[in-house]
Amino acid sequence: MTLKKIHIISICLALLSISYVLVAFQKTPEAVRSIVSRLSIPKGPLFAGQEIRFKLVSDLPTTSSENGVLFIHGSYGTTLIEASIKNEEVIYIIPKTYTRRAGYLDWKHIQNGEILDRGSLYISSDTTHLGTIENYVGPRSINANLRDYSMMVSIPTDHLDNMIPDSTKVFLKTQFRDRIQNTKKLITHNIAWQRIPAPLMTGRISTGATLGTIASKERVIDIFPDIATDYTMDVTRTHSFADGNELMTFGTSQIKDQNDNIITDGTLVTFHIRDSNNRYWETTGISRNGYAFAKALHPQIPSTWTIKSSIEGIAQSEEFTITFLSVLQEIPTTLSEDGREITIGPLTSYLGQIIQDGIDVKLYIEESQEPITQLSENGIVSFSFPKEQFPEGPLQLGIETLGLTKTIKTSLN
Amino acid sequence: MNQSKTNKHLITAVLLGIIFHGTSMFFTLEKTYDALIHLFFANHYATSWFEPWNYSWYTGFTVMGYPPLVHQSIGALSSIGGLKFGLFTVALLGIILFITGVYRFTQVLIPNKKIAGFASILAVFSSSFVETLHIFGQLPSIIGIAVLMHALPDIYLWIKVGKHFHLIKGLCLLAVTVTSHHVTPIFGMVFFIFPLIGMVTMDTARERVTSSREVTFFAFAKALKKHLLRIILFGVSSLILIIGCILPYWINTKENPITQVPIPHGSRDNFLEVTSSGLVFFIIPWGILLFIMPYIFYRYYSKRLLFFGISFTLLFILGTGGTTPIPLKLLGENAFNILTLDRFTLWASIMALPVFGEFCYRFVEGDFKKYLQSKWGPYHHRIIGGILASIFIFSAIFTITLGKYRPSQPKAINMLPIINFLNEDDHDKWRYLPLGFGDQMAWLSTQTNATTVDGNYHSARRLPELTSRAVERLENSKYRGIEGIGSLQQFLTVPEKYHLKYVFSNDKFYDPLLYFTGWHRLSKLENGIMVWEKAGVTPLPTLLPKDDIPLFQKLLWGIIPMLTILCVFLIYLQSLWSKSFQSISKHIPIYFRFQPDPTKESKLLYTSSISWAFLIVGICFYGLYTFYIKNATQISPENVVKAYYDAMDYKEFERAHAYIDPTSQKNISQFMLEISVSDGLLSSYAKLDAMDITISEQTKITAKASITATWVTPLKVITTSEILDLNLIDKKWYIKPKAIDPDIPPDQFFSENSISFYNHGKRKITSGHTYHEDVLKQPVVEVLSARLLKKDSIYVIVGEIQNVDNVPADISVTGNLYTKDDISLAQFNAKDIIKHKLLPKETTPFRINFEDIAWSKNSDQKPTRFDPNAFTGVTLDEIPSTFNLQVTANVATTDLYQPVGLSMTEVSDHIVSGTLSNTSIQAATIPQLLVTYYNTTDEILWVDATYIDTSVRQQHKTLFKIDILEKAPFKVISEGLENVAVNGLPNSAIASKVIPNRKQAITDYDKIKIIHPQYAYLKIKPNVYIGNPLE
Repeated sequence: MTLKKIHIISICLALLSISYVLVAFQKTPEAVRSIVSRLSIPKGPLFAGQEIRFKLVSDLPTTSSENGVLFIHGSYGTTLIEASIKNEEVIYIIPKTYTRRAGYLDWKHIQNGEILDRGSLYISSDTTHLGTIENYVGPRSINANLRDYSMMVSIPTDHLDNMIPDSTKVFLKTQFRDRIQNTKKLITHNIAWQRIPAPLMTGRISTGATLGTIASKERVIDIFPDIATDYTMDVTRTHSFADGNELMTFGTSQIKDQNDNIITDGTLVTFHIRDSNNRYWETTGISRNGYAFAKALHPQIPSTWTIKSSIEGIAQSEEFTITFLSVLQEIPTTLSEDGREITIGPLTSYLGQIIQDGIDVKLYIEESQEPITQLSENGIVSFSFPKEQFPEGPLQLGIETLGLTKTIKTSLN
Repeated sequence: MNQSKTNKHLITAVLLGIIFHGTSMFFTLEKTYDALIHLFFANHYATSWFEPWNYSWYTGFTVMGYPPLVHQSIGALSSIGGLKFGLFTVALLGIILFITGVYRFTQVLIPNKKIAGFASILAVFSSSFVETLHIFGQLPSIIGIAVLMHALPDIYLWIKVGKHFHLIKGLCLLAVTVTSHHVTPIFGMVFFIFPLIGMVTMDTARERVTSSREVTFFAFAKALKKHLLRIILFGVSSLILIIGCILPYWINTKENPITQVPIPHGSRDNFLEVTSSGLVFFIIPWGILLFIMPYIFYRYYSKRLLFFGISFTLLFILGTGGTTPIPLKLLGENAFNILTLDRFTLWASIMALPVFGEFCYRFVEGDFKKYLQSKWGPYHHRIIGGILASIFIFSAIFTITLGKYRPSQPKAINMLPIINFLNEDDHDKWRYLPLGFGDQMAWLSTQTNATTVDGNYHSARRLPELTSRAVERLENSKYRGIEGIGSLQQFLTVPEKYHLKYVFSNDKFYDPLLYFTGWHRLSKLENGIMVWEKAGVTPLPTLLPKDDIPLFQKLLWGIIPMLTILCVFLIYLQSLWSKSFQSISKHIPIYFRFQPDPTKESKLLYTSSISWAFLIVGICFYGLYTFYIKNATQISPENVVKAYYDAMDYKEFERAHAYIDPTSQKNISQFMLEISVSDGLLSSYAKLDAMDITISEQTKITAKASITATWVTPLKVITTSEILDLNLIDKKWYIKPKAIDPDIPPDQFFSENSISFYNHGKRKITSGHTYHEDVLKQPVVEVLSARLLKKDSIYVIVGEIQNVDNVPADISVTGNLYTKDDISLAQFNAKDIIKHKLLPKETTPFRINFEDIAWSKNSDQKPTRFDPNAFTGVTLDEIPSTFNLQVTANVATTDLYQPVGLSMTEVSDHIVSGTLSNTSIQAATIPQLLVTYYNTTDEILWVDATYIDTSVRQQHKTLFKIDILEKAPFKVISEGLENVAVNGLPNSAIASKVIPNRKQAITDYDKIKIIHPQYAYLKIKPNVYIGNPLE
């Protein structure tokens, strides 16, 4: 048998009518009964941590589950509370997490989507049981001048970490050297605060706060010196000869700020040096107890040095001048027989002793700009002129060492 | 009834394989390139099987970029005996599967059980297999190809016989292949299955005629028509499998296409030019097979195996990489640069195994034996056999031990101290970067929760800083020249962008770069790894971003691969069950009907094989000879100079001393002493890049060599030129030693006071947050000047900063460029042109280059030479008109020592020269000179940095020379301190509060006057990296 359209339509219709009958004869829900009920609201001042419960006064039997819910919204958050039945009383108990937080707690009694009652409670912080005082200080280090200051902020709390109401008295205390200050402050907007001007001496300010029986941790402020003022410098050296192999020491006087505080350890002090030929030297020292020392090598060339020391942009010393004397009057030279090797030296120092190794000896061949430089060993340097590079004939040589110059003519064979 | 016996050869092969590979892999596998990466992936599955996102590498990536089966198997097995147990178990399974795979594959190609047995024994020692397993560690690849070989007999039988059971079995095996390695089935289709289909068709055509001569094209076409339906059914279902089994992989590939620029790989080199690549990617994998090439081609171009012949030829050619232009043309530029071509050689050499087995069979028992014995006598036959066997075994042993003689990895690092460091005090809340770890970085990542910006699977990269560079890993960036160091510099300069706080350095090469980009040393761990830290980097947020994917993909990825294995097991159980009830004769598969023709004696084959073998021997000897001539160290003046430089470069000083003229009386102790006192950028942190030797004035016994060498350092390229005198003594060339610096320090013994700083960090021992009172105040620094300049075509911000606080500061400076409408254009930090650590009241100049991610556009021309100083200037859409500057300061306690000062500084026409003298008690390893240029009105025009090549030892001096910059087109775009903030506070407030009456004259005292059309003065500030600070 083939399936025809008419069959399908009739089956569909049959199915439709059955489902209609099923739906139509279903039991209708009971009409919502209105309940005359009233909440008894907690009375009197409420403190954090105290139990809070709402009691429902209702016409309905206490077993009814249709008492509605209590919607609460406080500083902890928002939630719905179901009623519980104790001793045949319908009560709503606010969870501890909500009652421990000070502040406003809004509530609504809701039944079947209808708000029956609403209100707001204020939970005060529990000042009879104090907790701790959070104390903050910043900046943690300030400079000893009239421009700088730090600030202390105290936040006292009760044992449940609620902030204490405004106008409570807090004592803010500071200690610097032998002076202890105790300032009474009233809490405003939950905090008490105080500005601490920088003393004009270096040291450390300790701070703390107290409220009744509770106290804060210690917080400290380091007082660093103000910027340095000008100072003097001097030079220590073992001799005054330009031998290029002795270290001299530059030192400063004790560097202080305008209030006679010694500058902090580690401050960078630079020594700038110019010689009579406008060559530049720079060496640095870092301060310790206000003194800074730096070293420099003696020059190889006799000259006069002008030294100035500075802390960049802040302070400086007077100019200081020292002179280096020549260790040698003339450069000794020897030419080989064939004129192809020149020996310079022995170079001697200020006592006639052989000069320490490593002295620059420059040789200019003819008029050349670029000299050949060699370092002395045992006071001697020698240069040779091989046949491959230098044909026979006269050759003019210029020698430069220890600030002296000499010109020699050789004839190469 | 011959077949009913157990195949002794196969049993021997499997046992040999287990003994040989099973023992040696414990010494090799962990040192391979890839094994630790697979271990890392396995660890991922072991810890989160269904979650494909991994935070450990590349700031997060998806593991769906690699088929999961092998990793999941290791991960699953790790629950029994740990990750390494999993790895070795899977490797052992891979070995067995491979040997049996070759056996089954050979049976199809050359249906003779003895030959198949021979081939399976040969497979054990096949040098390409040994290399892939023990050098490359490519487990998924091996398992992929092994299972594919197992599938081939079933595919043959399906097409030939048409039983659905074979189709299902073949497809199941194919599914295992797909889920273990994605490239193998795709190319396996082309190179293994297509020829197999061709062979089946050929067999069918052969069946209808009496001799193979009658198999014409027409007959073949007819046979093909007969099987077409089965072929299409198989093709379609395998395509569905390839796509379906790893569907999430394909989706991922489509959604995150690989943007990585091609990374150079040795298999793409020209093997004749780069002989080391030729060795690794051609000579070793082919090994002894090179001797029998004519035989392989002869056999594969027989009618039955014709299609395999074509496939083998293609694979052979593709495997030659860049030696010929053909692979590039065949694959196209894109595929050529993405694929590593060594896999083609691997497949070709595997494909050669059946024929190699047949060759050995004929050589040992067949007609070759007869021919050779009749021609040269049995004695010679045995000698040749012995030689061939020795070469074969030797090449396997050589390959397996290659890693020992030419280590591809740094020495094994004990990871425990690093793990402990990362676990301690929340150090794993920041990212870290290992340097000089090799592939062991994957093993470190496996063991720690901490994440890194680097990684070891470059196809999964997402950061454009990495994808735009042809750098394998940041960790070994020194081997990748500018791209490597450039990429690394970018991460080190802007570490806060990636929350990168710790660097573990196993290679002191990178240390100067770390120092000059503002990092400092924390401590050396017990395993010798130096920990570097960057101050002021914020920790990672608790929630990190990830690319989430639909649940069905996660489920597919987690379930299907293991399901494929289960299917294969069930099918094999079923077939074992059913076989046990069948008569033995039914076991013989149909392809055994196509045994190779009784071998005809072919004179031509014999002679050509023998002449080819002689030719190969000749080439080998020629190669060895040229190798000797080029590398014999003292045979010519060039060679001795090259060898000397090489020895110095690799710090093999004893070898270097051997090239020094023995008559010069420089004994090894004096030589070593001179080396030990030389330090600095050139002698301790440089890698020889190229050298040019010119020999002049050569006589019979003397010569002069002028050498120009370029050295790569992390900071700059150094070019040195020197002239060495050479002598010939006893037929060997020697180098005359150079004179040493005679300078004597003034003092024998001296003392120095210094100031040191210490920061407790947390004073209370707690893993909780640092207490408020233990957090130090950020030091107050003041920006003295800042200007946005355009010089030539680049934009920079230059200026000066002073630490005006009473504690040392570690500063980092960030510059932003804005258009006139305040739209941000670019942001970057000051890199190395700044002194990052400042003492109280110390001043530094700085310059910020606005760098872009280099070569982010394909059109950009990549430089061919390495230049660490080069950077890609950012391409700005609009013209910048203003800037802002953010300075962050943190308390510094280290790297504050200032050992050197300037002396004798003089100015000539274009040069400022002088000496740097060290009067302190610490050696100045790498001095940097920061040079600031001013105009006549004391405004900064430019800041530059120069590195000095040699160190300055205590009470010594070294020369320096600064080339004054030439005049250049120049424009001041914007200047002033309105938009400058220090630690988030306006700079102007600091300036007026700390130093209200700044004395400009004092600042000017260190300016050196120069004569120049653009600049009036310059200032030089030394900044020194101390390599070995005294405690």
